[in-house]
Formats: sequence, structure tokens, C-alpha cells
Amino acid sequence: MTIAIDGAPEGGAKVLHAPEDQAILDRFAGALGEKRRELPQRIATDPDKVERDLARLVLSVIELLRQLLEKQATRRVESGALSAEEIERLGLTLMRLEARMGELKTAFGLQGQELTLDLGPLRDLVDCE
Amino acid sequence: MHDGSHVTAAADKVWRHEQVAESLMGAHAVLPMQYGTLLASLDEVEGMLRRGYPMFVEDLARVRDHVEVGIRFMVLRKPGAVAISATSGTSQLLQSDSLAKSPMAPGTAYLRTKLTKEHERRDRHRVDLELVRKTYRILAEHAAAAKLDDDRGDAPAVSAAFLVHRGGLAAFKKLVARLADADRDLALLCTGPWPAYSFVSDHASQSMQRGGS
Repeated sequence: MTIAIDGAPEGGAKVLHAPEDQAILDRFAGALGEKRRELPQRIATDPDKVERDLARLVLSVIELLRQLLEKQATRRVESGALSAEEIERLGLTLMRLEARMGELKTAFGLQGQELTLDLGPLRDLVDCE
Repeated sequence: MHDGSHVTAAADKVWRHEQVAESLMGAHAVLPMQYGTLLASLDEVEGMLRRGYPMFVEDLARVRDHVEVGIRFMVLRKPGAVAISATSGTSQLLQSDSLAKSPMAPGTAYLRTKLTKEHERRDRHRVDLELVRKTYRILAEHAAAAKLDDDRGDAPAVSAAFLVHRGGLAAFKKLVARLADADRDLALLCTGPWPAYSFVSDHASQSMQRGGS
């Protein structure tokens, strides 16, 4: 089996061992960031697309903030610093926020993975499950 | 040496840098520098060579006749394959904290679900790392030096670098294939041989730090 690394000059195959299963190779490629889901680099000037692209950009930022809030909330719960009432109030807020985000995604025809922000060395911060 | 203007990391330039290092590697021991290492003038180059001399000697002795082999490990687990023990530390925490004492109102239930998922994710990550470290240790025993980069959160692939004697490269490659065959839950992507980037001191920055202090 001969596998070359993308971009390597001719004769530059440097793979000594690789899984034979293409699906696994694709997962490695994804982990290396070679199949990045990209946000639009520019907002399209096509009037039919501009609204969706803009929504995608704005919702990506909001989704990132929402997930950061959620992570912070679970940390606070774990620390035991919150009362039962505070946990309920926080949970309810986050639950409604998630539901609202779902509605907005549906309204603009966006899938969860389209809202992934690639922040380079900080890695993908938004969970696309 | 560079005039300080913008440096691009285009693939062709990085590969050209690599080709230069590898062409020298054939006949000499090489202490490679990462692409993009910048020194502003010949004086800085000379200063770095002078101040870094003891480091160069040490590094040359380490990498002479050796090459670097890179391996990326990826755990291939079927969904739900890791059972989370009801008595694990995280599960106990879920039962004993204020979540368990609260009535299961919707907000509390929502956060409890998120917390459970987070604990399951951490447990999976811990199990994955144990599997990777076990294989890494076997490979490290057959290398002159090894480094595991397992401090990147829950990145899907964990990478490691091995300093392997040129004469032992074929045997190391066979060992990688054997280990990959032995454990179907772990995929290995092995590349090389490379100049020993991971096993030389960062001459430029260390030298500049000393020079500047």
C-alpha cells in the first residue's frame, strides 16, 4: 500500500504504516484538520445567500458562547457551590437557550456541524454532537 | 535569517524546508529547526551558534545516526463500549451532590443529563489514554528516546515521536504493524523517517533568551 501525505513532493511518501480501512484514514485526516468545516470567509453578495451566511456566522458565535456557559455551569454544579434552587434556575435558563438555538437553526436550515468554529490551536470548541 | 516581514506557512514551502533538512541528513548529523524559526541578522545567527555551542554538541551526540518516527494513535471504539461503573468517582459525585438532593425539576434534570454526559466523556478519555500509553510504552522501549503528547484535552488523535536508530528503522516499522494488528481498538498512523525535530533543543529561542537576559 502506498499512501502519500497531502502536499508532499513527488517521491515524498512518508507513511510507514497506516490502517487499510479508508474510513479510519478519513478520521485521521479529520483529526489532523485536513477536512475542516469552514465558516464563510466572506459574506456572500448573492442576495439569496447573504441572510443564511450571516445567520450562520452569528449563530456560530452564539453557539460557542452557549456551550462555554454550559461548561461553566456544570463546573459550578460539580464544585457543590450552588443551592438546589440555583441549579434549577441555571438549568432552566440553559435548557431554554438550547431550545431557542434549535429553533433558529431550523429557521435558517442549518445543521449543528455547520456552526463549528475552528479556532486553530484552541481546537474545535463547539461540540457538534 | 529573515527581514521580519510576513512568513507564510504554505505546504510547498514547508516541504521545501523539509527537503533541505533531509538532503543534509543523508551525509551528516542534522539539528533541524522548525519551519518559521526566524533570526533577523547574521549577527544573531553567529550569536546563537556561539551561545548554543554546548547544546549543539549534546544534541548532535543524541541524534547522530538516528531519525524521528511519528505515530498518531486513535482509539476506535464502538458507541457505548465503555461502561461507566456506578461506583466510579464521577458517578458517586452525581449521586451525592446537590443535584441528587434536588427534586427533578426540568432545569435540574437538564443539568444532570449534561453533567452525566461530561463525566462519561471524561471516563472514555481516561480509558482511551490508558490504551494509548500501554502501546506507547512498548514502542518507547525500542527507541533511543520517545515523547508522548497526550496533554491536548480530548483531541481525537494522540501523537508521539520516537528517536530510532537508522539501522533499526525496519524493525521498528514491523513492530508498529504488529502492535496495530494485535489491538483492533487502536489505529496507528506511522510516518517518517524525519529529521529529529522533537529531540533537539529549541536553539533559536533558548539562545535568544540567554542573549537577551
